[in-house]
Amino acid sequence: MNTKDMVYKILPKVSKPTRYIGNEFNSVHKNAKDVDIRFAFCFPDIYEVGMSHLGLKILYHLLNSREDTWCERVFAPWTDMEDEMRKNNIPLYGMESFDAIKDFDFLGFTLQYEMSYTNILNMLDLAGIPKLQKDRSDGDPFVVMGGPCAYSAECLADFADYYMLGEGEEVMMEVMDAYAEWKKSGAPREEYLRAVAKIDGVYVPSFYNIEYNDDGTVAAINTIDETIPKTVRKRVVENLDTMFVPQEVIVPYMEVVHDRIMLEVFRGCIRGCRFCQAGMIYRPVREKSPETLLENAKNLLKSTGFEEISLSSLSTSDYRGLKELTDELIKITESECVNLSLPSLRLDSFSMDLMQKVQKVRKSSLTFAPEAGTQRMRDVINKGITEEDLMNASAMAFEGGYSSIKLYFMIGLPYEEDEDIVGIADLAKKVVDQYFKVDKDKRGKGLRVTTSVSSFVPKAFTPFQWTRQNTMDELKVKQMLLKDNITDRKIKYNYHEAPVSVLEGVFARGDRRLSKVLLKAVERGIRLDGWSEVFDYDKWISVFEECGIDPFFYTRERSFDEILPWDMIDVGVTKKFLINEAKKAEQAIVTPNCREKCAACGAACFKGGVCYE
Amino acid sequence: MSKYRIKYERSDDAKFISHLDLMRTMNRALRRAEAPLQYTQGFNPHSIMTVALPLSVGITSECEYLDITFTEDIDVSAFTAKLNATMPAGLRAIEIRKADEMRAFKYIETALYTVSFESDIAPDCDAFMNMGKVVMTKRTKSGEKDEDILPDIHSVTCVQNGETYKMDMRINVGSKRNLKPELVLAAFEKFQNVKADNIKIHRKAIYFDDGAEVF
Repeated sequence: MNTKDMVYKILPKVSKPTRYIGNEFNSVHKNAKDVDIRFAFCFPDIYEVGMSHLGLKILYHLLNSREDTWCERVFAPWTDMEDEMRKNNIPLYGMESFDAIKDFDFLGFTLQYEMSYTNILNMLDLAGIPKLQKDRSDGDPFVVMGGPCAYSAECLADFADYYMLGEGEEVMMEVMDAYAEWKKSGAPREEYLRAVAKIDGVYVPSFYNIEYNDDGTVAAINTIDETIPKTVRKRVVENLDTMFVPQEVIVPYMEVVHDRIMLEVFRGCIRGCRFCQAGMIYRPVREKSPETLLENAKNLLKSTGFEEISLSSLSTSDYRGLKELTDELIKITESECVNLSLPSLRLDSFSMDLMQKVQKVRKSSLTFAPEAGTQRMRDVINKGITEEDLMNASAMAFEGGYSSIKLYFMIGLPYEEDEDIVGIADLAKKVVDQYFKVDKDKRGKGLRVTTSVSSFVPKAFTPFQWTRQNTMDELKVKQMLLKDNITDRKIKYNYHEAPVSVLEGVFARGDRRLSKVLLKAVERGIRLDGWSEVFDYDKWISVFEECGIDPFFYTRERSFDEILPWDMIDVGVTKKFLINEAKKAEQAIVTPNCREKCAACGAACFKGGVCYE
Repeated sequence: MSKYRIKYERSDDAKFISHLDLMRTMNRALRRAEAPLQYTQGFNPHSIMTVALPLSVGITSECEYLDITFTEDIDVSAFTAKLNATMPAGLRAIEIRKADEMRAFKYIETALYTVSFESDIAPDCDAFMNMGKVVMTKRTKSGEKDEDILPDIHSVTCVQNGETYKMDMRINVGSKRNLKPELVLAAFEKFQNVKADNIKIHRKAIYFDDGAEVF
């Protein structure tokens, strides 16, 4: 029996079988005999999460635009499917061909969040590929990684053949070209790694040796020889209007998390919130023109039949072409009965005009992210908005007929006091008050203010990368303090589980010695940590104990002169800038955004975008 | 406004799509084919679509029907080709007819299924039909209950082809009385010890209460 028949036989026993069958409209099918390179794009989470990821859509169609390459998709199976696959000896397969991915040339994992790392190792296990890079040999695929977490994924260094740092549109094609050449030459495996190590943005971890001090901190980062670069700088695409963008995307059968067309309006963020890794690592801001976006929107609507389109970026209201784009987009969406959604608008540039436009098609809830409860705290994190901004915006929203508002906050931030926690409850209550100030006939019915609170996790390449992370007990006390202060029944209070945040923090700032912890964790059956029904904190702690590694070593406060495990990586933004920002945070001093005043963060080295506007 | 009835097949590659997902999939295919879809009014406009008999996950069919309202008349054969050019694997429009005058799906009463399977013991259809009473446990929304399923079976015949058996059954379906082909097979196991393996269920035809096939 071939793999497809075997899979079809077990599918009646598993939930949501369309996660595993492929064949969706616009999926790419080629003849394996016609291509030289088989690439498995592996998303280390389940189908409906992975299929919502814009990077997958771009790179899948980019790789398939090469005649010599066939890129297929692979996702982590849910527990029921994994059990059936193991019971029936079905290896992890490419969704398009049903061929085992252990016979592919590449496995490319995208690193979107730390809690997916165990899924990577579990997928390698299901595929039957040696997990450790040093154990792989001729005939095994190269395991490569990219995505926002790749800048500081030292805990995966024992498993990755190499990382691609930054935006993949260009570097992906270069490493494929190098592979085609290497494959023809018949040279040993290491020669390919040596070849890609010369390509900008490629970091080959096995070419770097790490020395440690007695206290466990990093003593030195050494390259194996002179030919290997001391630091590797991330890649950015200079001109987003001319870069590759798919004009068709896969249309899933099942409802995925983001079941719609996503228009990426720009990359980077001008804001510089100090907690935000994305705001630092995607610099500099580069915009697409409204013309490019409209053209793309029309093509995608035609090729997919989706009934919803959304604008995607880190801060959509900062897009300078927003009015021009939405004016035109609204015409298309109205005539074709398409819903337009605008995620996370910023309070200070929120316009009544835009809100009115959007609700012409459909009214949904609005989301604001004040992030912190008091002005002092918002200044610490450089979130340049005021209480007045939030009150004005929510008043406008309620007057416009909205009755549901979501507010996002964080707790466990540096320099946080109890009054900052209580401030969250106060702010939510003031939003409720805004609703009742609006005329009864004007406002929508059924007020709901949802207050979602996550726990702050310090991340590499941010001004808070040296900060001590709150302990689980500290977070729990704060969560309860907030709960006690929310008394209004119109306010719904959600918070993230503290144990997950703590572990996320361990891996976010980890070093290579955590590789063995991950390996042991997967041996013990740990995976799907992003799913609360699967996540098992106690099991994790016992794995750390077994490995003799203290997880809280990685959540401690660090000094500015400590060598950080990711110091061989250069994201453009300099350490000097980050230290300066960290010092300003302590004094609650705000840094202006990129368009107000250049803060000389270092991203100008990429010679483009907002730095040269 | 014109109503059209699309007859389509669902083969192996599409058999795991659930009913709700299939509605969305068809809607998107119709949009890609630039169908002149009529939308409902209001804040959440959607196309006006009715499916004859939702098909269970895992079952293939050559007789699925879907009613859809268009704003204008279409050239049926040109549109069929256009739609099929944009359907995902496993779904194919067989025929499209104008349906303004057609009987509604609520008058559907029976369906013909072909169930193929492997078994060591041959089923005896005549003996089965002459049992007088075949009581099986039916799962309904309100729980489980024991019921005689024989009145819902109009005919059942079986042919052998090597190790494979092909059983044709015409049974009640729809809003009044509804029987699942899986339950008929389970009855053969219960009363004749037929342990079916490698089961494939296929819907061949759907009939109105007057005995006429939908089309």
